[in-house]
Amino acid sequence: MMDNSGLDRRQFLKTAATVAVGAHVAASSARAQDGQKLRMGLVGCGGQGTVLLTNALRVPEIEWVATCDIVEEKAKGAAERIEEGGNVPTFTNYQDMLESVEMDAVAIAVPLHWHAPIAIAAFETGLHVFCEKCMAYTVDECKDMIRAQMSANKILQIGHHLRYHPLYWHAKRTFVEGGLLGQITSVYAQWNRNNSWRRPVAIEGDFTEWGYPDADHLVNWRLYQEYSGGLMTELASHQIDVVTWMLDRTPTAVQGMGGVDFYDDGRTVPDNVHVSFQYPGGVTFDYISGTTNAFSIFGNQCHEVIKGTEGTLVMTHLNPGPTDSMGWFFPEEGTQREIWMDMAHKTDIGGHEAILLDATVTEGPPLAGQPISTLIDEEGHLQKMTYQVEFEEFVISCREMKLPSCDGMIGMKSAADAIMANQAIATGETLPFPEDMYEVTM
Amino acid sequence: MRSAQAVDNQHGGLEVGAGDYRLRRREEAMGSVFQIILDGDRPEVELRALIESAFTDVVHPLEMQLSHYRPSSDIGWINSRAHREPVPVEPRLFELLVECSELTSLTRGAFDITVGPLIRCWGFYRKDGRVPPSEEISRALDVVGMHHVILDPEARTVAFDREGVELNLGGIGKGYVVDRVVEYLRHHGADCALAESGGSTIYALGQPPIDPEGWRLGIRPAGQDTERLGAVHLVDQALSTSGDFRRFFVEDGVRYGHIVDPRSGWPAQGVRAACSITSSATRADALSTAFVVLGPEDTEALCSNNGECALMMTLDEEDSPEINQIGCEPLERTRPPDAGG
Repeated sequence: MMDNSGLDRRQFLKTAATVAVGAHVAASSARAQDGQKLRMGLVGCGGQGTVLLTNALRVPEIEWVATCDIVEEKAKGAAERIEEGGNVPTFTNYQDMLESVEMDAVAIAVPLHWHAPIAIAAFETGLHVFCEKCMAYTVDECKDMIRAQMSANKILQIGHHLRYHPLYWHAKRTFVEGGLLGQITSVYAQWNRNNSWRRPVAIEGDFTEWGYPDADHLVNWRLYQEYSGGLMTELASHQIDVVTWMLDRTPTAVQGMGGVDFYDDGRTVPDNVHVSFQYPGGVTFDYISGTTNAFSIFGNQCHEVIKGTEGTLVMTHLNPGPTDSMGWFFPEEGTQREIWMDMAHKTDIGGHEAILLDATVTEGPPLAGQPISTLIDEEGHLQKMTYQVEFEEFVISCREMKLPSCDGMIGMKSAADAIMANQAIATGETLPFPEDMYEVTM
Repeated sequence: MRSAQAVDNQHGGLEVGAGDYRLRRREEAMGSVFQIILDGDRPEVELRALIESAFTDVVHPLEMQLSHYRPSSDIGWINSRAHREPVPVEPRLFELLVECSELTSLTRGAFDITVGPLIRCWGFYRKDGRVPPSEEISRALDVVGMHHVILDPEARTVAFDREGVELNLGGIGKGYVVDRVVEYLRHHGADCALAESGGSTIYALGQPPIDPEGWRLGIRPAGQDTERLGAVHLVDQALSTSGDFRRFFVEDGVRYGHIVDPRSGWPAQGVRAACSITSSATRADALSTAFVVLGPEDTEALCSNNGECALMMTLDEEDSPEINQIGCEPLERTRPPDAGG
């Protein structure tokens, strides 16, 4: 069972890699131990950077001391968000920020192909790193990030925010580990939208230094293979991470289909993907992500369906309306169904009677120092956004040199799976996963 | 020649002629449907990117920020702790709160974003309306009023002077999001668009291609499926309508609408619906609510002193709608209001 001590992952590192784990739990800086604020810089002040900053500003243990974006007005906007009329220094080059600002950590929310270079530079400067998902553009870059982290003896946390979601913890502890699903045999997930994913371009400038021939390639970096793995890395990696977490295992093979079939707008990443992963024990995970139809029987563009011998678990997030996330359990006929149905809060989903998940009953170790049951109410309202909780844990991890719930080894798994799926789509072949896929050697 | 065809939203007695525009997109947001119509001589791929991103980058993030249902929204976060300590606020939201405070002053308290406890007290949050005991109304009134809200522009924080005070942007949030969408569209080069929330709050940007007089919006008697009373033409203007036609209850033969007067603690009576036509959707949204609370006489004074414009709908003794135009005559009558359907 996974818990916040990170013990399992340390054990994993010991067996799967030849890294100096002992150094990882060595004493942290005197400043962090003194309980002073964690001084952070933000690299990347676009949409996701703003989401992170907005939520992290609610964490009083963090002091934001610098912002950086290659679009100057975005860096200044973030600085203004931190402090009215602010004295927070802004940068357009992350190296300048790293060299000139005294701080303890950075948060990285930039196009995918820049994750690894910036994270590694931050470790080399002696900083902790919070890096948005997907972890990196290539598997080798993921491993380079972990090596840099180990060498620096700092914390690396990856922003798979569903690892900080009480409903998903409830699913993991109560239904998966609690055995209520029985033996898990298959998983299905989707993230379907009716949206071209393209954004209008309203900035000007020369960004060739950073690899973008024009502003469109910067603004719409998710649509171009040079910078992103498209739907697999930007959306699917969230759900792959959930499946990895719930199954507590990684795939052995993947096959896939997809392409640029609808949007004739110059993009080079598929506008639809359909991939199948195979896991040990014959478990399969089918995944679809598209951009032309948002329908879901669960009323949500995005959901995961975990099927076991005793029942089916469905989880959603990004719901419209006042409740962000919902989950349901559908017991199988001939199991404990009648007992369940007598006891539980029932609802109707597509003509099927389902049990509404209530994460306020979640037991077990705390998340980011707080009982999981307190992070959500009975109606499913999150008391804090997941992004806030992940930063609360980041502070604890940096202060106590404690592995976060989503560290680099975890982030690498979903990144590697997404990258492998893209290769399977490109080649049209069933790709076996190399045995050393997730191993890191120093 | 293109012509206006479809009639889309009729929720608030307001009809938006969609017509033959290049792009229209609707998505659920803020408890209703948000719609954007976009035109312009630009490549299809650009227009589509713009209209989609207006939802993903503006409408939905703002919904998350402003919702008073979500404890994790900025408003939920403020409501849960501003009675204990000043809470830092995002710059644009702080500007909005300042504007709310100014609108409370302008309307002499008829518009007030702290009215939530009264709405709850009357059962309108859970759609379980009833006349509460007077002591409940008194208790709610103790925590209602912008004078309980301390806005510090230097620190950009908000604080409450007592526990129980809460912010609810239900009377202005739709308009604010409409304005932010229009701002976003303008920033990205659009000069011909219409953004509306829930069929009740609209901003008309620029000149529509099919009508040189402006964006034509039909006005119907609120809550009735009869023909239009008339229409208005808007260019770079906002229109918002408020009324008690959708959420109300009847007890002992008295109809109680969901718009509660923050000053008295009782639902507004007399005006069935009111429209504000003004420079911004934020202002129009708030003023239309205030007009219902103020009634015709005080609305006339407000409009006269501040150059505002209002349409007020009341029912005569035979329940036929009567329209009173205040401050200007924007309504182009298509048939007499008492002619029936």
